[in-house]
Amino acid sequence: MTQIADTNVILHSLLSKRLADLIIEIYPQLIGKKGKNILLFSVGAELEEKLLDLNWWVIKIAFDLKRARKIGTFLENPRYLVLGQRFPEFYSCLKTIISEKHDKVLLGSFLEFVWEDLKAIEKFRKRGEALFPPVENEFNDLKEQKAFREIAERLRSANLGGVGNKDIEHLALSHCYIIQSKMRARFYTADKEISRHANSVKISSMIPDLEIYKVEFKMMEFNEEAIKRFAPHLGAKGN
Amino acid sequence: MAELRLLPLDYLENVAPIFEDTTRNKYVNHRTKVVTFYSKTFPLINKRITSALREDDQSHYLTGAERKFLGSAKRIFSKTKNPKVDEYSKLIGLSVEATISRLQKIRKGILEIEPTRYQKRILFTISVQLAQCATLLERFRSIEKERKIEISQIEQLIRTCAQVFDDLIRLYASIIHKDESALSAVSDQILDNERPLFHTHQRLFA
Repeated sequence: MTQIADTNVILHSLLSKRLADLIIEIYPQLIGKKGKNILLFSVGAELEEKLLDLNWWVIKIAFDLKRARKIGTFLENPRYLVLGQRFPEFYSCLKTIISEKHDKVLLGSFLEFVWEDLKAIEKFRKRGEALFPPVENEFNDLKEQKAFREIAERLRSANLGGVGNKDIEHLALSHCYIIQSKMRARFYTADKEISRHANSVKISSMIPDLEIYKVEFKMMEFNEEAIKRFAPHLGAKGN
Repeated sequence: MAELRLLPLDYLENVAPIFEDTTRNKYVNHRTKVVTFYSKTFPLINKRITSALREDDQSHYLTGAERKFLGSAKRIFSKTKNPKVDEYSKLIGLSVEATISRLQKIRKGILEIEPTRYQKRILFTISVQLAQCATLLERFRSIEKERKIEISQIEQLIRTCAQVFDDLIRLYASIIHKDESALSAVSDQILDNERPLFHTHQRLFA
């Protein structure tokens, strides 16, 4: 399975219990109601692998943390470099906590938060029907649609500065979904580049007391206005 | 993965059902209000424990907590009288402690190697199970502090224990048979148990 853009949405939301809870709570209530919807894309098998990998790292770090004497140089051990490559946001977040606070207990509790969220996301992942598109076939079908290809092409041709291929795929999928459902959709992202371009971003800090650690999670309302602002060349909704 | 050598399945299959069995089989003395649990499987368990301890004398496989639990169980079940509530709840508390020590050992084993996806799944499931056991153990300890133990409380805990051990047996079985789909199903079951059985905040490290 090739990588798709939105796994990073969920993977970023792994760090946020509130976001995970919110999604689990709100999704069944809002689906089907006109005007509101939550958009989530994922392919189970791919997410599972990342999730298990992150889980392994979280437990490993928590385990090593218990035995570590010096917390300052804790993450500079070469074995954590792989973590830095695989989950750069998570790694930098841990580094920020260590450099700013030097607190073993705090770091431990942060890891606990993350672990709780991993569980929440795993539960959420198991409810395949809540994810869109739920299966690989549907995803592939969607990718082959004319609307998807057109929009992806237009997004690529526009100079969006910093928005990568994955994000373009993600946005194109989002757009297709909007076209299909003919509803306004709510779009969750933690991607700084996407949020920089969108003016309708509402910042919501997911874990209390964590603002200082620069963990930024963003919630963007992906409606007609947002599309105009983000990519004016796309025109109105459904274009 | 040397640490994935587990307790023999038949040992667990013998020991785990007693917890459920005994909640149904109890005798209440209406004059003294003393509750006694009884089970037909007690002599069988005692036999099994004796052989497990004998085997361990040569292999030194069991952890300290496991030996403590088995020793205590042997002492209680070899009596002619059936166990009283307080010693019985203490025994089950010890069994949870023994389970935690075994799971910690497995987890340590996995963390020391470069794991595959399958082993990562095992680690995830074990971590959830560990957190559940830690919550159970806390409940047992809080009950031990109380002077008067409420029988309904104990029964509730025993039932929860039975469910946890049931999942554990299935988890061990899936690990032994290297059955990935079974492991995934057990993992789901364990995660599903979280909400009805464990409402409290769970810790990453038991």
